[in-house]
Amino acid sequence: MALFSTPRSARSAGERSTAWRWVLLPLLLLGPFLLWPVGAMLWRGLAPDGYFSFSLVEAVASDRYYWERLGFTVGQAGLSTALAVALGLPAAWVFAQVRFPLRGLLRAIVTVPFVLPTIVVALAFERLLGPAGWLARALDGVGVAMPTVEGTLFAILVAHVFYNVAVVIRVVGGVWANLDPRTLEAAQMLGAGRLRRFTAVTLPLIAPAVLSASALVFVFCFSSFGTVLLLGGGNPDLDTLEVVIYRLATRLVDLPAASVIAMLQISTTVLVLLVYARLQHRIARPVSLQPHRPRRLRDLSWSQRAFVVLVLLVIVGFVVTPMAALVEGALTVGNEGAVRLDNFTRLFQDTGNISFIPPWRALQWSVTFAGGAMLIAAVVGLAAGMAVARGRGLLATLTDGFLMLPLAVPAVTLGFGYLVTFNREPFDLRGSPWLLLAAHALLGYPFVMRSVLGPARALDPTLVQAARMLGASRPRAWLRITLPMISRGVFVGAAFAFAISIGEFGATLLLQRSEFATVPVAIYEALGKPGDANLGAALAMATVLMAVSAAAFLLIERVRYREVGEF
Amino acid sequence: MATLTIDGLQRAYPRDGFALRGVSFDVPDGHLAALIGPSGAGKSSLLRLIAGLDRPDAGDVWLADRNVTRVPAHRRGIGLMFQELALFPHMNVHENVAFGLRMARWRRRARNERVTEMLELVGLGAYASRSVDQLSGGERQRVALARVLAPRPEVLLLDEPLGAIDEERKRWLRSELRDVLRAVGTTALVVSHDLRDAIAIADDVVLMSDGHVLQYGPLSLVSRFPLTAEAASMLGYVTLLQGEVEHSAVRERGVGELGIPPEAGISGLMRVMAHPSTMLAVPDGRHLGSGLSGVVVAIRPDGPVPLLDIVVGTRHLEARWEWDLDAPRIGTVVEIAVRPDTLRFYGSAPVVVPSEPAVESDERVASSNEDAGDDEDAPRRSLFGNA
Amino acid sequence: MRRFLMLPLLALLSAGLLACSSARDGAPTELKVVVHSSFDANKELIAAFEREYHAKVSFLKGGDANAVVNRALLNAGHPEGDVLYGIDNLTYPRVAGKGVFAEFSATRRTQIPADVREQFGDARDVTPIDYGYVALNFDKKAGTPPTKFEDLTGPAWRGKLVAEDPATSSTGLQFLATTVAYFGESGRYTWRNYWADLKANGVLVTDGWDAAYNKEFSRNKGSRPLVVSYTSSPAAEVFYSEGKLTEPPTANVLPQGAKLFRQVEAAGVLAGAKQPELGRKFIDFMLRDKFQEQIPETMFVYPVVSGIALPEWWKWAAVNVQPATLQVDAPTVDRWVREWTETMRR
Repeated sequence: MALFSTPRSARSAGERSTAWRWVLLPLLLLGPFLLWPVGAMLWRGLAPDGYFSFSLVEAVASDRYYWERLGFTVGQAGLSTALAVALGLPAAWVFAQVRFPLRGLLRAIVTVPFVLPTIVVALAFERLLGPAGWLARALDGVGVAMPTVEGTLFAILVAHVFYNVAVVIRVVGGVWANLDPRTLEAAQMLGAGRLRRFTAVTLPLIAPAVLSASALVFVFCFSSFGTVLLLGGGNPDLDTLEVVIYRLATRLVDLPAASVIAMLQISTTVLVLLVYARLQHRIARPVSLQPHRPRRLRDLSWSQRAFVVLVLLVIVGFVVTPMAALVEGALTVGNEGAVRLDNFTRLFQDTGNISFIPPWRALQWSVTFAGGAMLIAAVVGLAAGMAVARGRGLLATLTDGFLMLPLAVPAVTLGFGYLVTFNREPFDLRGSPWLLLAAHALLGYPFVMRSVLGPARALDPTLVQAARMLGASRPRAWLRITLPMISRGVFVGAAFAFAISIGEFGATLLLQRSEFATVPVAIYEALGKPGDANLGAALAMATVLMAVSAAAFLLIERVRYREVGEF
Repeated sequence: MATLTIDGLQRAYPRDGFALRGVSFDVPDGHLAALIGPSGAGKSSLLRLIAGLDRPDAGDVWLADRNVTRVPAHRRGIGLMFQELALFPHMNVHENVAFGLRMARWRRRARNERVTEMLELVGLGAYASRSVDQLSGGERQRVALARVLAPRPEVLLLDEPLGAIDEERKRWLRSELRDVLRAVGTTALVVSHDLRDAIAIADDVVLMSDGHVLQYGPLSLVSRFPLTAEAASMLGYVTLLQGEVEHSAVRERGVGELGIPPEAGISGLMRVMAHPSTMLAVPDGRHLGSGLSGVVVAIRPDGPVPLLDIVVGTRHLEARWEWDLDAPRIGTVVEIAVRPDTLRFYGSAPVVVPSEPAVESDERVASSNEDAGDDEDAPRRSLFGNA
Repeated sequence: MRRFLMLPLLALLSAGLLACSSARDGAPTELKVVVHSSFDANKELIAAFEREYHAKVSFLKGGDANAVVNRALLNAGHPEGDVLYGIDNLTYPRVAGKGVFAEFSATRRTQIPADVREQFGDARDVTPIDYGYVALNFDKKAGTPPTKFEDLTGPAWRGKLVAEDPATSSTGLQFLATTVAYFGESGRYTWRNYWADLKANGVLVTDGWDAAYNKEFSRNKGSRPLVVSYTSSPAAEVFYSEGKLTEPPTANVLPQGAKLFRQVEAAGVLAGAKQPELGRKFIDFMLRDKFQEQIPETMFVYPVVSGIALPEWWKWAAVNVQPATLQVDAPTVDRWVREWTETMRR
């Protein structure tokens, strides 16, 4: 009947005690690659003379500017999250419950923005919403003036939604698709109309997933950096804390101030994550998840069909058109408006310079790094998820918050931290691909952890006990029973880990050896020079990146066999 | 409360290679009907059509004189208890039961009173604030029942209400369910694959097989006079013989022969069926049987009267040893005695039913086949019936 | 579980091996050259160097000039590589005297014009390699260009200019230096007043050159016909049109009376380098004719060695510019950036 109906009392004390063992593996990654470098960096900033200087904190705390920035950062992250949820929920329903042509492809495409370097996204929005963009031309056709989008909060919100709507769709959709339809039918039989069914039954049941997605989106938007720099149009009112830290650290080299604000950012994020983990714990119920086939379009009522079409149109408008604008650019830039493949063929023409990055090599490195990071993230995230799922009470909440730290730490702080800690033999890892891999895995595993947590919490412990009674050792029982049952969660999270790695991260943060140049690096390389050939090549490369990522997501989707995940 | 009328419901399920083919029957106002059929007969699919969760391709559903075919499920006033129960996992027992009342905009005090009343009715008065995942299977079942009863639906549909319950508990849950449903007095249709549920609960019975209704009517009538061999076997009848009727007897090679009352007036190729409760095993050689004899292969003690497994030619039959003698040993030959008036004959031609007694359709007879078997002097008469 | 533990351990182990393997006999010595993100060079040329010295040159890209220098500062004494290329005359004051570079006098040092060397106070720890000018580029489609800096604060040029943030972009910083040189630090109307007026007139400030040029510049679907870029950019447009253009679609704007700040890029051997000798060889190599000759077409800047022939299409870049002379030290540059940030951002 119920796939995951867990009598809570069935958890034995013996299991609880294993939680700490699971933390060891994440610690192995977190310790050297997060805690140490970030700690060293912050210490360097906060205690320039070797002892902690409170006056620094005071100086920042008394500056209204930073508090304003904190307020704005929280505000825009909250707004972005609300918008992403508002758009993502209906889309999650459509993807989870309805079968329509190209459904799998569209779902893969919706996730693609995740991998796009910010500069590429900025270019896409310029070609779409800019003064000479598609929308402006369309509006011009009907005699309406295009309002300025650049440098407005609107531009940033749109970009944030573009990036993050996939998180909501996938995370919520995973649970929604597997809600037992009879629960809803039971509500209907008891007289609940469509709206009441949603508010009284569906919403409470998907609430944990919505909360999960919201927390992730919030943390992402909270630490938004590239998007603000590129779409903020230099408007100082749109600077987030992360941008402030970046400016302070990179140009003004005001490491003390940067460190204090980094602390502010980390503590705010951790606070949010802790509140989230607490809430999550309170509202999570063992929900009976029942995989079932989504309905066909023709089984829906007319109003439902209209709704599906509307939602898909909005999603396509939001997510697909910016990407289409990139493809259009790749096909037309430098061709006097004609559609030609010149920019793609150019990718393969060796300029004879060291800046030439063969596209196959770039792709190869991108996929290698992303694949490696995904593997590590999957293993570490699995352990992290087990640790939190097996833990209890406040300690579990704290562990949860602690293990989400990688998403809270400002990129600049981490990058500088690596520089100052991994600079002595035999641990001189600067410029080493291993460091890159570790950093990518660090950012990827929280996704795996979140998506493993749901199934791991809902797992019926009697199954493992049964296996042990049948003679399986503890590790064997885990391998044979627990792992297969939570593997779907691992796959969902791994897809995101892959996406994060293949995206821009690392291209600017860490030293990039030219022999390991990835696709985003190649894109940045091309955009660093003037001329149509370079812009065209960058857009062509971005198109290739989108295609490869979409294919990878389709593949990952094939591998996982059911879509259950909490996130 | 209302009469439920199903009129020619059709629906194809191409993916499952199955269809409901013009299902019609009715459940009179206040009656308790059991929908019986093997799994795959289309019982649950039919229930979903009646409930309004699925749309029929053709046909209508009537509640009293109201055609509700186009009315969405939540406005039909029909209650459905799912086989899987489908309790709301995010609500406690009280909230689950109160849900339908909230949807019907009951005032809070009335609602709370009703919930308490319902929980008392199903014997869960003390469980109101329990979380539903802390309940046992039987308790969950009763919460689901209370929940579906609370808003006073005009018609109640129960899908395998005793499905997931173990045999031991089922016995008293059956009578409890019957008592509850009778106390409420709602028109109800109970789906079961188990005939015993129907016998224990229902007034009427609807027999379904492969997407259509074989027979329906008062249980007392249907169980005594199944119209087809299929209906009969669904009701527990077994085939004694299959052969040509000649000279007041039916013969089948390799099995034996059976004398039949000449007043039956039947002829041709016939299948003779009887209910095990009307069959007795008698000692061989005393000419007490109806003409069939076989070898005892197993003896199952079942209270003071053991059950015998008997191989009659190529058939396996089961009969009671209601004889004040020691049970025969395995391997001994016994005869089988059947009350001739309980024999049922089915041919390839349209069904022939001997002397159907006129029973008023609303005359409720609470007796079951087992009761019939206890009929005072019936065994004796049958023993000597056609000696 | 033990199996999973192995993975990170293996990773650490391989990392260690990777770090140690560079010193094996017979294998070429690895020279790590830290460069800013716009560095480029002819592959064949680098290969020739590798053959000559039995070396393997790895280029490590660490962001723009600013970032590269910051990293070098953070890592003073424990450098990420052996040679650093990309420090310029505005970033140099920050590292001067901090022990980031080791002293070294290149063989052809004397062939570098004295005024160029003077940009680094003729310091011995860095060697100038190339130089260039930041200038306003104008989209020819947009009519007539402005003639002087002051025009840009008038209504005709409202919302037409895109510039880079000097706090994050070296292009932006150089343009700031040009305006400092032109408007001065003191008097009735300083560069601060000018930037305040630019802000009031709707200047758009981007984080880096790539966004300004590729995204905001009207030549590339943006809305602004004026962009802070390089004097070589129009020439590059022709070069990268691959024969489709015979004339640049953009033009340099040289405001009347303005001298442009000259950015000189330099290289140095990092203090504490593992291969200091090879590093010195590489810097010498960067000053050779062969390397200097390819600088215009790989990096679109001027070779620093006197008398190097320039390619034909360079005529679109070769403008008659007067280099602005500015005496800069680290506190001054920091102060400019801070004041600019206060003017523009708060």
